[in-house]
Amino acid sequence: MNTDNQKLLELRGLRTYFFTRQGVVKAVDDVSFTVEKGEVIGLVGESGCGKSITSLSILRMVPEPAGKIVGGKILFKNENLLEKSEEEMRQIRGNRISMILQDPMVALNQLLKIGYQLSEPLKYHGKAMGQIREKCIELLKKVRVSSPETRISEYPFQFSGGMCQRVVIGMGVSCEPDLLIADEPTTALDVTIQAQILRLLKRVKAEFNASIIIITHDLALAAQICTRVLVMYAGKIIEKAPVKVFYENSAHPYSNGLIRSVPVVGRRVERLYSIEGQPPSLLNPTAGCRFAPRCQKAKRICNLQYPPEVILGDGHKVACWLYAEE
Amino acid sequence: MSIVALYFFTVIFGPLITPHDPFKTNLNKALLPPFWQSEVSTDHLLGTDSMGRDILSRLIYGARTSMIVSLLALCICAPMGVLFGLISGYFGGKVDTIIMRFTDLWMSMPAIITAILMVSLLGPSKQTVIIVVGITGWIHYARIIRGEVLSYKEREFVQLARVTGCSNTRIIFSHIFPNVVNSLIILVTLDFGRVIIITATLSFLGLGIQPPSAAWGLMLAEGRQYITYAWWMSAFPGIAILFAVLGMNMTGDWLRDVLDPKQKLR
Amino acid sequence: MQKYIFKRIVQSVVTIFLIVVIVFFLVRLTGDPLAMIVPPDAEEADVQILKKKFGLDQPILLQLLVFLKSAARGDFGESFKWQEPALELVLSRFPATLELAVSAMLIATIFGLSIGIVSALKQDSVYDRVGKTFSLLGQATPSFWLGVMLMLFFGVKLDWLPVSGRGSLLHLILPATTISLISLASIARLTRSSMIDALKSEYVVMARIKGVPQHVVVLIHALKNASIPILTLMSMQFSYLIAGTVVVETIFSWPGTGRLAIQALLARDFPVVQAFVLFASFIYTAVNLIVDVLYALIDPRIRYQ
Repeated sequence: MNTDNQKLLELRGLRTYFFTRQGVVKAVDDVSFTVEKGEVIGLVGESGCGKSITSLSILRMVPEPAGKIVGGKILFKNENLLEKSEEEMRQIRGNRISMILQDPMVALNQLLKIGYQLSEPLKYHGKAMGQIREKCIELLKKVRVSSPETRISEYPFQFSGGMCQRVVIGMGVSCEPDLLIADEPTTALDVTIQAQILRLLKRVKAEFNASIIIITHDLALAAQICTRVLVMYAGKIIEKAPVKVFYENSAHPYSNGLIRSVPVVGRRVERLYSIEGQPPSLLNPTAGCRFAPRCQKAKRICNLQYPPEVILGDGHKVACWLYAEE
Repeated sequence: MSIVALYFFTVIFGPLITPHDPFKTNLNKALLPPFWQSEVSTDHLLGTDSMGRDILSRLIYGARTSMIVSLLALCICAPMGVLFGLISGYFGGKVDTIIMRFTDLWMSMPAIITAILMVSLLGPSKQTVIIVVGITGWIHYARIIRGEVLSYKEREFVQLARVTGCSNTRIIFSHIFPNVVNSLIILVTLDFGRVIIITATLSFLGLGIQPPSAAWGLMLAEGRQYITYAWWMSAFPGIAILFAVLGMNMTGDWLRDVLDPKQKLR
Repeated sequence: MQKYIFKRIVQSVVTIFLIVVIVFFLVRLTGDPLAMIVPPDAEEADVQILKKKFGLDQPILLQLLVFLKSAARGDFGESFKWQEPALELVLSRFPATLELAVSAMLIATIFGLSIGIVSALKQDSVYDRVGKTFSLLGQATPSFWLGVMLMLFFGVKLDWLPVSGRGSLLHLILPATTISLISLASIARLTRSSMIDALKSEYVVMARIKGVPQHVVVLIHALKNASIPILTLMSMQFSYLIAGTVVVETIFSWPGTGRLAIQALLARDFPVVQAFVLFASFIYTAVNLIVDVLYALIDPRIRYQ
């Protein structure tokens, strides 16, 4: 099947915990997945399930001193990022792996010129010496910002939200990274802008041949752009599937619930489906399946022991007792 | 907290605990060092000044003077500030604009300049200090209280009072004022330290309390002339001020944590 | 940008004008200005002559007009004590005060910022705790006492530094340190808290995601944003700085305007006091104007309003 040289990123048993006064919050608890070259992965789940912390862990940017990566491996091009020095990590950030944050209006520094902020990755990763301005203008053109020559010396507050996100994407791809992580890239934007940004991401992916991890709670978005979907729930990945398989044949009761709660145009329903109950606290979680308290199909064992990962088909894996032998 | 309690204790019971008469001069005993440096006598714990007066006793009396002057000054600026703040915040509109423009203007004169002007007009005295500190300090209160009032003005209980036909005066004093009392307590405590320093500074410069009164700032001014051979004359009054202010500031911070958990008053 | 600065200049001029008017009325309201000039045993006839001479028999608004006219010319009368024009006297002492104030501000800013930044970066470390204690103490120390103690320690006991007068750079150290301490403490405290906020913000995370080196993140991304509240504080601190020069000049016999003001005050030399008051207000207003221009330079949102 997959050979190692196609693998770009592999997470093995990643654990990121937060040590708070109330106790240990297991935000990312034994997460493993791989990202292959050219893939677009959708990391899907409710807010607070550990999606963002997973991505921050990959960049080794978990907010310290409360947060800490306590276990596992992050293999990027077969090198463990957890063994890198801070300076080596800095050279990877924004260069080989870059990230786009949710709200572009706060992610950009309001007091610095767009051009300056755009040029930083180039400058600090030794790209495009001496012709930084030209490179920045070119980048703005690529992310479809009009009249880049003048806009380059403007400030973020003179840009609209969508324009800001284009700039942030431009910053993200400026060093032609191997992996681009987009954390809720469209959530803070108007619906009409969302589609444009999504199209931009697709084009960027094609042009730079980067792998992308899109973090979202929006299944419709994931369906449009992703090749594979990972569902995360309470710090764990519960289902991994190719996008087509996922939408037609999702296995985990939680995934089914998510799909059923997306409204579909043209289908009349009495009431939109919603999953009962609240996501569990990540503080001292139970030993069993974390979805069990909300699961309608829960069995006795679900509350006692965490389910093993079961392979259902090509690239389709699920962690659920409905498919495993007790 | 315990520092503050100690100071208030000294202020109230001062005359009972002073070992010597703070005003009695005795030139034979002038400039005695504190007890641990003294071979002659341990009678004067913190030594004596150039006129042979006991430093400890003068410090205790000084606490009385400084505290009373500061309190009186606060009695002027706090009510004045609160009144203008309430009026400005509650009525809004032109009244508000005029009062706020006036505070802007007042703020564009540094306090020390106002003080110098006032002293030159009224002459240096205890009363002048009280007036100066009083009229330079109210701006701060007015602004903060105004801000508070603005946030309460549109709340239901005020609207309700208005609907039931309460007079403006009644609404201001029985409905809004009780809500700003907490802020007021914090402000006054935090301001106390500032006022102590200002009164001491004015006295030090010879613009405030006049000799032979015992006041911390004044004692320091007297001690400065003997700095080369009687360090204790200057050192102790300063330490007294430092701990008084420190105590007040820490109490203020503590009160803010207790009474104002949302940390509005930063 | 030009429009903003122009607006602020007009505001400043209005402020100064109003201050002059207020000073005028305060002087007239609180007593008979003649009483400050004429010896108490003067003949009634002489008083009348003086009244005429100073125009005090005119209606009050006319007096105000005369006062404004002479104020605009910088004419505040002649000093009784020094027999020189009051404003010239104040101006001649100003360079000494400026030297002191600027060095104090530099000390406070440089040390305050660095202590604050390091405390913010090493939150809750031993260093941070020392810094916190230091700023708490700094805010409670009366500057005149600190001046006297520094004088005692470095001047008298150790005999390292001169304790009075103006001259070499060495003369400057003690007075400038004394003035700067209070501002230093509060600048350090505010720098710490606004840097902590800035370092937690999304744009700092973003900068780090881009692979910007730590020192650039701290000094450019975080500090630039944190500097706005710090600048506000510094403009407020300037008022303490003026008070500081008055006190410290007196202690260290520094021949500046502050000491002059106190001397004039104690000698009841009213023209000099008045000239000083108006001059100091003028400087203060000018500094606030400069601070507002600095805001606009740092924050483009103000510039493009």
